[in-house]
Amino acid sequence: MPNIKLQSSDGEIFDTSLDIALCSLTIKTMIDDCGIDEGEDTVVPLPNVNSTILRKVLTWAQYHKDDPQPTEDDDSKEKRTDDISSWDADFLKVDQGTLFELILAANYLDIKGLLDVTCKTVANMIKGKTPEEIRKTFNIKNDFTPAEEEQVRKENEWCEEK
Amino acid sequence: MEDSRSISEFPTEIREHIFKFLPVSDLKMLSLVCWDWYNEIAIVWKERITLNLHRLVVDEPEFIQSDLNVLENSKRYFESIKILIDSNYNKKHDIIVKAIQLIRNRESLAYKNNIKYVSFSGEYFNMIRTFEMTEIILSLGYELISVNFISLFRESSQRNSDFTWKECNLIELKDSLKNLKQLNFSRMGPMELSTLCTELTEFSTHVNYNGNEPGPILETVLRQNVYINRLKLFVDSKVNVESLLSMRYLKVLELDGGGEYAKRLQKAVANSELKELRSLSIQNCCFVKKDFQAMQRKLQNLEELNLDFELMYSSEGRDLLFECCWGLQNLQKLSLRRPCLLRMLQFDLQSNENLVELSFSQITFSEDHLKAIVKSTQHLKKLSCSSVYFEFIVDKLFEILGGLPSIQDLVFKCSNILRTSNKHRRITSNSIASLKTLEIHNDGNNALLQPRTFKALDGFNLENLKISSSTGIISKLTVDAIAKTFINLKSFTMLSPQMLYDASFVTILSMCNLQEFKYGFANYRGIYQRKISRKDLYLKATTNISDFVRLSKDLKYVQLCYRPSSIVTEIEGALNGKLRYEFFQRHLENTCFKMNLSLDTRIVDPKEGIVNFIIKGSDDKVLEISSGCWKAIYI
Repeated sequence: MPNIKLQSSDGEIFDTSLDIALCSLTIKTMIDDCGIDEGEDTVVPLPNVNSTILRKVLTWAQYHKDDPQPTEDDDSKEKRTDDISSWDADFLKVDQGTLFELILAANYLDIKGLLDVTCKTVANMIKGKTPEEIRKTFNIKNDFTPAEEEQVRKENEWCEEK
Repeated sequence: MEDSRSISEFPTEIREHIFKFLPVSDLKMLSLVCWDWYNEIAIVWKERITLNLHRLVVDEPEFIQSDLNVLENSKRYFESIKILIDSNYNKKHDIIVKAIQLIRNRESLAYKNNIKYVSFSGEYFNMIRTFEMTEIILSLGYELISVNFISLFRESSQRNSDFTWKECNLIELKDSLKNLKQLNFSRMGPMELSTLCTELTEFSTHVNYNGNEPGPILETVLRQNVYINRLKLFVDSKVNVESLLSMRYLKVLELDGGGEYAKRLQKAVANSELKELRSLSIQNCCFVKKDFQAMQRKLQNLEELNLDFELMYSSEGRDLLFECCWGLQNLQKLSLRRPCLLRMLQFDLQSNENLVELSFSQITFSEDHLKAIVKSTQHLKKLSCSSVYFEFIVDKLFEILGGLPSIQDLVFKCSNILRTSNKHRRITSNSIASLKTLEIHNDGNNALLQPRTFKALDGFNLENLKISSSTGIISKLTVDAIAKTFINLKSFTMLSPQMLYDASFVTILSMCNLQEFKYGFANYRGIYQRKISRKDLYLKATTNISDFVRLSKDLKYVQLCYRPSSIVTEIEGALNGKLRYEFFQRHLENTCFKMNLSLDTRIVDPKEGIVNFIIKGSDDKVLEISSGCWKAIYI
């Protein structure tokens, strides 16, 4: 498989195998749309991803390059968060800032597997927490008045899963 | 990298993607974080949440106004509402109407109502009819077949072309028809009912047609609804089986009857166009060999067959009938119940390549019978035996099943073994290498729940084990054997009539790969479902937490998830949100202060009634989990 050059937002060039780069549907579309031929010395610019994050994304893609492509059926499956592989769990033992950057990169690059696993990691950070604990975890300001909070709490009592 | 990014800076669609991975209980918590999130949750919320107005029906009168105020002030949008009402609550109709009005008064409100068991009458009916219904699930049999009902559905069908009847379940049709007569039958005859339904895709009835009228109505309904693909019928001498089976699009057919319809059924099937039929269930039918052979030719595309013969009095064709089933070469799932078929079975069965799931009930197996089945079903993945009597030793059972190279799930319910071996015969891991799941349920003697059963499976890579006994305690030796044999076990469920010995808990705690242990009680009737009062729950929680803390001196933390499913309804209101949190915290404080423990309680899933306790030791001496792999203990 030929290589392709990817340029991060801070100018670093990553020479990577095409099959790894094609994990990203964004890159795939760029290559298809711009008619970049294999073997050409073209650089694909990725202005929304810095080199630190791009390096991590490529590490993830390298490990998962042989994974089956997610299907539409996968979307309709039960949304579990306890199925993160141990490799991914170790890979995502990063600070919150890096995790969020990875999510944004996965979203921009359109890498469903990475987006799912990073979002699941954030979901696990939320699970079982009280509103106050969630605010503390993500540094969010409470803009409810006590009366409004009570109203929402009571509304919640009327709601149940379909 | 510094935490330069905030989750609040994410595009909305990313946050929505994260929220989709969370259960409803966490969505409720998220909606309380800030207004932005409250509004964003509404997007995910609409797809997953229904507004249950049943609270208005059961609440005490003094709380009704406060309930309505909550609805009036709510800014949420709902696509689905649920109302569960029966005739006992007719007096609450005006309140329901008011509640619906409050919600509907908001702009941009789109309803895709999923209204179950609604009693249509008076003003309430007039309110319901204004909804834009796209789907309705109905159980007829209360007061539903009425002029209002008929006109409602006619209107809905005319107004919305997408309107479908997902299911029309004619329970107690006879009684409903009595109501029709009272409502002037001449104005709305049976034909009107039948012509109203022309788009049905599923139809079921459990009615025994002793009267004169339901038969023709039923036949007309079926004739009008040629696209029915799932049909469930109670058949007796009044019903014309032949006409029922003229539906060429039928995919799933379930028949239950008085036992005398076999000949008519086989003739009907033999002359029918049932090319699409994939699943057939027949109960209480007196088949003999010839009957089934006549049908067999038309059933060659059948993928699933369930036969339950209560009245199999003709012994002549039992074994051949079994062979007929085997001869359906596209069959993937076969379930046989009650005929003691294998007593007379020839041991040379035709090989069936497609059969992946087999289920037997109330059948006696000899060693040769089982061998014949194993030999002919080499692609079998799941085998279930319920009330099956094996005429051979338990070691032999697993040895024979070792001849199934693809078997993944084995389920034994109430299975008895005539004799057990005095020697422990070890089975190599090559024999059932693919087996991942094993279930053994006993309500007779505990023959299969002895240590030797599990020792016999030494070396297996089993990941899921479920065992239950309703007659005796599961011994420590059995638990030891399980822990020693299945070192890769990830999920272990155990139901027994008595509490396990403390020592057994210690053994289970030491299983290093176990991620989930579910434990409950069972009695001879099955799972123990005693209604537990709140007080009982406290005591139970106290007892169990004390036990675990006492037994788990070295644990970093103990996480207990209570699943008091039988009390969820009773305490649902009280346990929501903060109240639930305080409710358990207060209780735990009393328990744990005595043990010098501080605690942190968190809600896991209020809907399921699961409360998550995390108990930490005081003065930095946290209790530690030795294995490190425990995620939850369900009690």
